[in-house]
Amino acid sequence: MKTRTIFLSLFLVGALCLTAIPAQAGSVRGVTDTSVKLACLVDFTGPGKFAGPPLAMGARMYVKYINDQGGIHGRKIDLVVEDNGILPNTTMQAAKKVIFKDGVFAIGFNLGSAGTSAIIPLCEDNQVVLMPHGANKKFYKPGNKWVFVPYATQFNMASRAVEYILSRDPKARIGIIYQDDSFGRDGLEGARAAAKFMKTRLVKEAPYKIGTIDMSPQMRMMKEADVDWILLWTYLPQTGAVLKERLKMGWDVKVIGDNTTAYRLIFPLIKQLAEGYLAVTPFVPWEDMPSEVIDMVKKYGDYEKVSKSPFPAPMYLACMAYFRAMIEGIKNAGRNLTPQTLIKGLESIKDLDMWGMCPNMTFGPKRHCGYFSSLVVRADAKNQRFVVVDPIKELVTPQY
Amino acid sequence: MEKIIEIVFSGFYTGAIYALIALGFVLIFKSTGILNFAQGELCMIGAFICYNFATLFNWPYLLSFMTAVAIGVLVGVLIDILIFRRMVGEPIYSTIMMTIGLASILTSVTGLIWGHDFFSIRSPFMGRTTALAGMVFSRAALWTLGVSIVLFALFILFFRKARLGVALRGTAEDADAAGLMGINVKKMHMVAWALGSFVAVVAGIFLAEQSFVYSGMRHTGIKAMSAAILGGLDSIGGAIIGGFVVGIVESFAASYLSGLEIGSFHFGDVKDVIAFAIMIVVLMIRPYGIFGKEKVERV
Amino acid sequence: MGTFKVNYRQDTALFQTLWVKVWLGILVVLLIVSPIFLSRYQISILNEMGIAVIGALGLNLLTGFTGQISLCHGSFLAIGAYTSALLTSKLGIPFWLSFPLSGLMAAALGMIVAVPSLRLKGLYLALGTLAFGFIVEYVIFHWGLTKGDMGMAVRRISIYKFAFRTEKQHFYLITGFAAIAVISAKNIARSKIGRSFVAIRDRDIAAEAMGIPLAKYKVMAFAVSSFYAGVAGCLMAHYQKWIVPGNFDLSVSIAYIAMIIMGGLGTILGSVLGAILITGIPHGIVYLVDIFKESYPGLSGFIVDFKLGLFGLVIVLALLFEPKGLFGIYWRAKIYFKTWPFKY
Repeated sequence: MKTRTIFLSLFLVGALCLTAIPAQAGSVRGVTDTSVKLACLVDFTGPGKFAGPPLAMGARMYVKYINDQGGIHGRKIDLVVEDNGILPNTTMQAAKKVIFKDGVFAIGFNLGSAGTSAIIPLCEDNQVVLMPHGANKKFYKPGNKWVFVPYATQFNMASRAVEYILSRDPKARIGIIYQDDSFGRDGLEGARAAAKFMKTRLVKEAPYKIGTIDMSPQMRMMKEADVDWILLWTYLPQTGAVLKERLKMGWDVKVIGDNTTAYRLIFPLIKQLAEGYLAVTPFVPWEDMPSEVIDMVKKYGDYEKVSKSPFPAPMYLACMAYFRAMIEGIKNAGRNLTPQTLIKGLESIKDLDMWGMCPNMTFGPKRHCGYFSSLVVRADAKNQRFVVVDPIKELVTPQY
Repeated sequence: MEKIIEIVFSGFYTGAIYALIALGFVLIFKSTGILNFAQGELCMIGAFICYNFATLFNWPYLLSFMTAVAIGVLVGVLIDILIFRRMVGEPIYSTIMMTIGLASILTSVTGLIWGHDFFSIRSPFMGRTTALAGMVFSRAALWTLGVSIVLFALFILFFRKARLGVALRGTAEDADAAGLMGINVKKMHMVAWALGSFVAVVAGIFLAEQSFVYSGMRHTGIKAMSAAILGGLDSIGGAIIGGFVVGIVESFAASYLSGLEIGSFHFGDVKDVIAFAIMIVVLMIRPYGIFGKEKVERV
Repeated sequence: MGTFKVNYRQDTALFQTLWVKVWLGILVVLLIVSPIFLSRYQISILNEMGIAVIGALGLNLLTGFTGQISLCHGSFLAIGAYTSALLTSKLGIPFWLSFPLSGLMAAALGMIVAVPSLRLKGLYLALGTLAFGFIVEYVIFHWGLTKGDMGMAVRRISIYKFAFRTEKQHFYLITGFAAIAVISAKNIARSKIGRSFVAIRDRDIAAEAMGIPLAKYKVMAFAVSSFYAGVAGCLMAHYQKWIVPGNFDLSVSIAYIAMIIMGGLGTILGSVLGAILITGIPHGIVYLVDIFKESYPGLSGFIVDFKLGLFGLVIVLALLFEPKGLFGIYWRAKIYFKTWPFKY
């Protein structure tokens, strides 16, 4: 009996503590008179770990460039790079660490779409602006006050691919092989939307599970449906497997893929098989990069490494573009930097100049996606590079 | 008809790889009583070693293949000596957890040595095809099937005829009695691990031939486990047949069930889940597999 | 020296000695005042640990006490989490009702898993549960209701008009539930049910011969275990406010097994210690990396690279050198101090 009363009274004390502690109020988290702390969450240990180092390099390079210019409104950028393991649980831990322990002002980059959705409530509760990579249409429609997407989503790019095919070949029979997750299904929906808008339809849709490497059943389905074009919403190994399978079947079907395959990594991987492969990407190939970007990388980055062939330069540049958008928002927010003014600042970005390395960015109160357009590139296996075949072009399919 | 043949052939191709991995499970389980959850990781390591020699060092394909197999066997022996020799008689959950811990160490070490990109092995089969009776087959598939069938035949003969094979079977039957009969049980466990990682490395290289060398290829290991269950965890022949059955069922399911939508349920790719459905059905109907023996327990 | 029990009542008492009561009292006071001194980050780690304690207790009742291996504990967490998320958002059921319902739902599915498992033992049971886990993941991934791998939003916890917002408020709630879970697990373990569980673990055929209905108690063990997992999943869902299938994959089930093995199988204290240890490892790594970041950037990069391997290494070394887990270490230390200066 006695223990019970002791326990009861202790719980009461606890309940009192619960109500007695006031919420801490004070200065803005991560902002001092001389610095702003930003986080960059990339994958060093999970299934997307090959992407981690180039992404982190891009962020570091741009931050170095900004700090060398004297920072923003007298504040230097303090970059925190953290491993998020791309999976939801690990991303959650990384986000908690940067928000609670490091006290960052905003998350300028987060790799992985499932992980991003997992941390959105955390960001909402703590007033953290979040920029997700591995972008999905759901991030801007219906969207969220705290989420900004400075990149084309899979939905946009799949629409672009279908529009490209139909502009070349209005009667094309299009089939799609897509990854059975939010990445692939966003692509599927974009392709469906564009096909519907252009008054046609996708002849065949074949899903595969993440990590599958034997693509022969999917290719057999495509062959049976007698398609002229195959749209691939796949990762690099599956794209390679499809191209291998295409050769095996002795079938000269045309293949167009997504931005995750438009890296020079494809050349050492499948050699001459890559020849003629088309891909949709928002980033101009490294060889055609405008001189402003080249000069910046030469001065602040590791030019040798980035320009060497299998290095995934578009990843490097994408992460840099994310921070360009974020820092532009901070600039627009003015000296009085709070989460609210940052949102205002980001929403007032109009036609942010990207020097032609990717489409210019525009945000607005009702538009949290930087751009919808992208370009089509073709693989040139002999010179181990991608060549632009269709430049940056606005979409006709409605994207909202 | 042609379509059916194609489906069956690609089922056999994948099935051969499953059968090799399943054989590894059985070889190790039969003599040591440990279900090695790190079998897929051993495949991955084998493929990476072969890549290291064939592509990075530019060695001839067959030589790299042999070297990878030799190093793989060594890794198996080391695992036995360093870890599992001390784990004899430990409860099942400890050994399961041990192999899982081992798996994450192997993955991490592979990442540290070779990085996390996708690679391909430079081989004489890449992108080559052969026409047979009006149909096109990839040479990699023919090579995989040929080598695995020879290996299966050799293994069956080995366990029937060879002295070492009989000793292994004896150890599997009753380790204590085998020890009393003068068989070196510790050595037999080592041989079992060596053989298990031997088939794993071969399977890994074939798997890489089918696609690429990357750390995600280790997940094939768990799927092959359902093949081992189907055949019976203590039956060599069962593992081989189980591997082929799982491969063919998967191939048919992928061709006819994938992408269906019923109401708000989107089937997606059923290929991977079908292996686990087989596993549950087998466990419910005949837990010891088609060819496995039910153990009689004493109180 | 030692405690002497002169009747069964003392042997099955909840708190065996006065010392236990004193230590527990100190622990409770510490838990109540600790949020005042800890940072928000540290409280959020404690919250994760609290949820893990509930889940680990459930698994330990099944694996440690009854000897049934389960590789699908994560799936029962998922079932609890999605049940509560759907009940609160689609039907508008309040948290205090959806919380027990999510546990009951998980328990019902646990009983379904238990029925075929009556035939399976040891390794085969482990594999059956492994396959079940994959199938649950597949269903959550592909069912329109659960919204695929982008996951779904979950309402925050509110009881009557009081909404839980801060980490501190969640801390008191989660720790409260964890304390209830510990006490009830201890109660189950010391009652007839718990003793039957242990009898089944030690020799199931002998237990049956002694008149313990095997089927009933195995099903009960599964039901109790998945009830614990279900409510842990429910708490996790409402605490995170967003759930995705990836929150509950195989690695979660493996982490739970690691917790009970590292903590100590078949002990209540072991589940708590194991849950704290395994949940703490990744955060410990974060602290380590931050310490070395400035002075030895190379070393901290290496730790990040080897993170997964570190987890494996801890498990392998512990199994090789301390198979009884943290509870074994605690026990040895206790004996050492009790018998000091004599060595037995």
